[in-house]
Amino acid sequence: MKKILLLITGLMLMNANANAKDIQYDLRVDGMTCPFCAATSEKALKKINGVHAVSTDLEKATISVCASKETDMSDAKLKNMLKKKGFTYVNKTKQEQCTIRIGETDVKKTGFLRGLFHKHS
Amino acid sequence: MTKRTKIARVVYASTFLALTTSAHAAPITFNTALPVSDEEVIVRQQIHYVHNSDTLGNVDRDVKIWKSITAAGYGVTNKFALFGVVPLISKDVDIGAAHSKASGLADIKIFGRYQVYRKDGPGTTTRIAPFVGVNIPTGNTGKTSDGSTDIFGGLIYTRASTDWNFDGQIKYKANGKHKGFLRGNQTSLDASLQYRVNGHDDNVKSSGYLFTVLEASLIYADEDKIGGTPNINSGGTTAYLSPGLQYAAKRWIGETAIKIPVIKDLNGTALQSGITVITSLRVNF
Repeated sequence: MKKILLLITGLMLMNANANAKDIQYDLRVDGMTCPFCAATSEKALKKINGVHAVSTDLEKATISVCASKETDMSDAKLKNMLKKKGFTYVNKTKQEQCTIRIGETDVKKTGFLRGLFHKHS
Repeated sequence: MTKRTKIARVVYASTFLALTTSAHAAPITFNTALPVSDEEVIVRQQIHYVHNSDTLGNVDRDVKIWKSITAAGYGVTNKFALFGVVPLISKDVDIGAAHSKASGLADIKIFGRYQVYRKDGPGTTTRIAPFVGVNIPTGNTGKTSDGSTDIFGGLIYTRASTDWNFDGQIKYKANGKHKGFLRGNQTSLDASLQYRVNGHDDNVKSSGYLFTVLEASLIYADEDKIGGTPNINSGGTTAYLSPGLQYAAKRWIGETAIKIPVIKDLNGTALQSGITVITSLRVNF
C-alpha cells in the first residue's frame, strides 16, 4: 500500500508544473507556421542545459520555456539558435513562476491518435 | 476552346492562387518545397498509382504504374538543404493484345536548394529558394529509365501562415541523350494551396492541423528526338488539378491527393495522361 501511495505521489509530481524554482521565459519567435516548426524549435531549446519544459503557441508566435535561474537564456544565444533552425527570435519576457506542465511539453508524445483527438483549449 | 486559351486559363488560375493567399511549404505533388532545418533530416514516403489509357484507332492502350517514391532531405545549414529521391516502379503496359511488364529501381534524383530570401512575421513566413539537381540513370534503360543523365533547376516561392500555405514553383528540365534517344526538355509551373480547416477560432497551440489542399500544375514538353529526328508523337502540354487532404502533426504529416488531368494537348498519338492517386507520409527526425 505504501508503495502504491509513493507511486501515485510520484506520478502526481511528474504532472505538476515544472520545477517551482524555475523561471518561465516567453519567447516571441516569428516564422513558425506549422506543428513541424514548433517541434524543430522545441527540440533545439530542450537541448539547453537547465531547460525543463517547453511549450509552443503558434497562434501567439510564442514559445514558453521553463528553466532554472542559472540557465543561459541570453538574447544572442536564442537568436543564433533559432536562426539556425530557420526562425526569427524577436524578444522575450520573464515570469518568476512557471505555468507550463511538463506533460504538455514532450514533442514526441504528439502521435497519430493524440493529434487527431486533441481537444483544443 | 483553343490550345492557347486553355493554357492561359491554367496560368491565370495559378496566378490567382498565388496572389490571393499566403503560404509555407508542404505540397503533395512536388518535393522541392519540403521544409527542413539546419542539421535536421526529413523523410517522405509516397505511393503513386498512375493509370493512363486511351484508344488509338481500334487499339486500346492501357498503362498502369505503381511508384514508391522515397524522398529524404538534410539541412546542411539553415539556408542550404540537400535532397535525394529514390523511386521504385512497377509498370504494366497493354497495347491491344500485347502485354509487357517492367519493375525495379528508376532514376535517382539529387538536388540542392539554397534559400536566398526569408522574411518572418508572427505566424507567417515568406521564402524564396532556387534549386538545381540531376537525374542519375540508375534505372533499367528502356524499362524504368531513359538511360540519360538529366539536369533540372528552378525557383520555389513559399508563403506560409498558420491558416494558409502557398508554394509556387517554376522548373526546367534539360534531358540528356542516350544511345540516340533524347527525351524532350520540360518546363513546368506548379502551385500548391493549403487551407487549414480545423480550430480557426481556438488556441490550437501546436498539436495538429488539418488542411484541404488544391494543387495545379502546367507542364510543357518538347518533342523527343530519335537519332536527331523529332518524334511527332511525343511532347505537348498537360495541366493537372490535384485536390487533397493533409494532416500535419509535430513529427509527421499524412497526406493524400488525386492528380486529375484537365488539359491534355499532346502531340500526335502520344498516350493521354490519366489520373494519379498519391498517398504520403512525411516524418521529421
